[in-house]
Amino acid sequence: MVVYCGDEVSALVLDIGGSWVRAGYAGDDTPKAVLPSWVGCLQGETQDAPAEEKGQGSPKPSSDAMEVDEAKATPKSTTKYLIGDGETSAWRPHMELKNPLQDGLVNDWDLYEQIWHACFDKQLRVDPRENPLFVTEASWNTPALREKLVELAFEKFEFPAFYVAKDAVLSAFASGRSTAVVLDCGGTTTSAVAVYDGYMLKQGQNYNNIAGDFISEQMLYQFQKDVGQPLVPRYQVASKKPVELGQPADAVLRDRPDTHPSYHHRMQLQTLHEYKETVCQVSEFPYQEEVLAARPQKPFEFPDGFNLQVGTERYRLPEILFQPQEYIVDRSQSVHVNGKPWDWSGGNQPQANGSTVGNPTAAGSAGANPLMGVPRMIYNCVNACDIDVRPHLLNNVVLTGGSTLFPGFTDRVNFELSHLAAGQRVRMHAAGNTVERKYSTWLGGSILASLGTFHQLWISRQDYSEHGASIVNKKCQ
Amino acid sequence: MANDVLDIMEVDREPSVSHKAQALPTTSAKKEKKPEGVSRELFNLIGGAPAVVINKPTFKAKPRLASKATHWVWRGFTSSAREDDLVLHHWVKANDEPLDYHFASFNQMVDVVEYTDTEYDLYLKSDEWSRSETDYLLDLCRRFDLRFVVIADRYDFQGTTRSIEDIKERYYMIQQKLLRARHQGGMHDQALQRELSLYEYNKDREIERKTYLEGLYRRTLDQIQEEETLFLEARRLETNEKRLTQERQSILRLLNAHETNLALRNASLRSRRNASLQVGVGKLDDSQSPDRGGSPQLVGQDGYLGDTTMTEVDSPSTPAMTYKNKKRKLLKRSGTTESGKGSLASSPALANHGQLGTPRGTEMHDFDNGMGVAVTPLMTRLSSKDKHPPGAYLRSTRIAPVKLSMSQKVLAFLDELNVPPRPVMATGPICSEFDHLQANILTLLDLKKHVDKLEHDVKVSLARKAMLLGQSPPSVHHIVKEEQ
Repeated sequence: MVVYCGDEVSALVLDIGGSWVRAGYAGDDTPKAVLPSWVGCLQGETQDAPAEEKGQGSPKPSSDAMEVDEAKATPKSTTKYLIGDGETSAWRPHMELKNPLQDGLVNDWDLYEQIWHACFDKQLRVDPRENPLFVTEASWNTPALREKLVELAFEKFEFPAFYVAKDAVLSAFASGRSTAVVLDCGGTTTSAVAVYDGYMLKQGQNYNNIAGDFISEQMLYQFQKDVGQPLVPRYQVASKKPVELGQPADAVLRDRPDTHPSYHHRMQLQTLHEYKETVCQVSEFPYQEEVLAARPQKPFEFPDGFNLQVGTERYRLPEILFQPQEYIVDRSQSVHVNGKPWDWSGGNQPQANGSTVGNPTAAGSAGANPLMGVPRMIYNCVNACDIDVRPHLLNNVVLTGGSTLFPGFTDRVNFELSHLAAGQRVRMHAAGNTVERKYSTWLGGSILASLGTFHQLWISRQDYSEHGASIVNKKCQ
Repeated sequence: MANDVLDIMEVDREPSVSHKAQALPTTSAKKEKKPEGVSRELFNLIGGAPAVVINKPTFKAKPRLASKATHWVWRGFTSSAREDDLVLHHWVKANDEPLDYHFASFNQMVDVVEYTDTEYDLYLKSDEWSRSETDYLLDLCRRFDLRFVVIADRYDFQGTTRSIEDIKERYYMIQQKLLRARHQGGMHDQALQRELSLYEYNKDREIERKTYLEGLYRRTLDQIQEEETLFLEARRLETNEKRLTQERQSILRLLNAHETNLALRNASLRSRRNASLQVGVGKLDDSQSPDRGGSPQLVGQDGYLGDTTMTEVDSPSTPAMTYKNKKRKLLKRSGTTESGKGSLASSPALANHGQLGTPRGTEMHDFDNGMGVAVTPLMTRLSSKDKHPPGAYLRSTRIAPVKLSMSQKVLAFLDELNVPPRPVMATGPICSEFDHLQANILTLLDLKKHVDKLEHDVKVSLARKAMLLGQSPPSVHHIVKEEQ
């Protein structure tokens, strides 16, 4: 045990991402519990959820905010939270799905707390007072939010010790490196962050919401435009009959009154998620219609029996990750770049270039156009760092997150990055193992929190009571 | 069998046993001797038969460890690396004494210098850096263990950021100034200087270096490719040039050799007249040395002079030459026993001249190889004169033989000149002339070969040039004309 510098103190590692929550014990190689970040909210019987909202589009932000307000206004007992894959996927009337995170940052602390409860009480079944807690955060997390996190850990859950680390650092650790540039392309955010000697570098880090869910949304738009009918998610289908290729579906639908649009939408996205995983691919070179048309088509059958052969479409939408400006089909969908909404009409506006990134030189080197493809994001991130560090960073490009699992993704990034950084040696590091790619952040946390030398870094309850919540900004750098 | 059944049924079979014992007392006696390790059934089967050798199976006994399995306990621990007394729990062996935490020793901190108020006021005041900012900087240094990249990244002092060069310069300057100020001994102490050199930092040079690196980094793919092709081209030219100079040198040597040959001939003629032939031979190397330029006139003089002391005075020699001559003189004076070694001369007088050649003997040897046959005729003739083989011989047999590969060409050439392949009347002078002729023919042929080769090279180069310039290659005739 000592040989590997490990010393396990049964710490809990909790990684709450945009789409999935992973929880487990430090020192394990996989999380014990993996559950969706979407929380099902059932309002109390007395209240009627606004179920008569129209259409399958994304829930309106205004109504969303209103509901949060309601949840806050009413006592908690009236709202029932349903957390877990089985809970949120099952249809319930009026069940609304909500995500506590927005652009990787905690937006809804009630939901966030509920997820913690679900993880510790229902999934892991541990007593928080007995185990230290290790939590991950987005690299661009703000000091205020971190302080809230510490308060939550010590005040509400009474953990004896607590630590919060940047996800990029942990992903780098999970792939066995302390210096790397980490590209995390997950469900809700894509980010490129440089890590130097175990420290995240603020300079040059950039992120946007063009990730898995965004592509699914675009696919939904494209599907409804091409096929001319709404996409039927699995929960609506009672039975189906086989139909010919491209023919309208012949299925019996269930009567599901009072379905909350957020649930319906999420289920549609889940179907498209399956579609993505089954047929979609990233072209290994910049998208060329005529070349890709020569490749074999792939069949896909939707839940209602409608099926089609997918040709170049399976390359076209994932291309958004590489050429967002050119390939986004539904521009009404909001794009966030570095936490700021992207304005299509503005084109290149300097404001959108992330004052949150901090360093003006970094923003300058990022070029006039902050909405960019993945290789550019990596390149700009590297360029914002000191020239002496750049070769190391380019030599350690770590790809992680579920959306990097598109076939051809690694090749494509390698291809483009080698062209951008022509004189440099570029090396990709992407775990071949799907689990490692999806859970790399958690895995890095598991490694770090099980190291013997790490235990001096915990923020203890004593630290917290002496220095207050601000200690987190001093101790967890 | 019945016994077995009875055994299984657990029936008391005392009587039957006793009955058997009465009936067969011998077998029962044998039964008692049932050897150890043989099952009863087997013994019953082979009972009475002569004893067979039975290998008793040796099973490995279950290890009987003296000690019990170690107990592991879930025990709380504190670490001296922590400032508080946080108790974390881990599994440890129960008998392990809870000393300090094993990993606490790895908690190494970087020693960042600290200063007092007076020290700051005395040495560290700066227009650019306020006291509070300096404090902030050193705090960052401590927090990030002097990882300047991270320090520069996180640097945010009341909204101002600083470049990594600024930060490094300030930090190293503080170190240097405090080192100097706190040093007790003299300023030129070795240890102090060594320590100071550790904190040497030249900001401008660093910025310059980074600018260059940046330029290198920003190259596009096209630029890199262009660079590579240029590099390859340069390398090609370099090797080409080397080859050319080599060839030119060898040609020059050949030409030289030819002239030398002539010169030697003149010299030998003259010296023969003066009956001091060997001197010319002794001077041969000098005449061929590059500093003399191989001028026939000089050789002639030298050859004629016949005395080294005279050479020193008369010949228009460079200082290097005089040095050589001096050296030679020294050698001559030393009169080593080896004097005769390099020489073929038989008389003591000649031995001295022979010795003259020795310091550069090897060079001369190389030279001989370089110019092929050019010198050999003279040498052979001389040697034939000097070293008479025992017995009678035909003078014509002493003519230098021609290389087999060249003989055909030489014969053809001789034929053209209407000279018979062997001298008809092989008198001494005729033989010597013939030798000369042959040597000259060989040189000529060699030169011709070179000329052909060079012409070809020129053609190829011109064609290449035309190709590179994008023109159609000029015709061969045209090139030839140009050359003419």
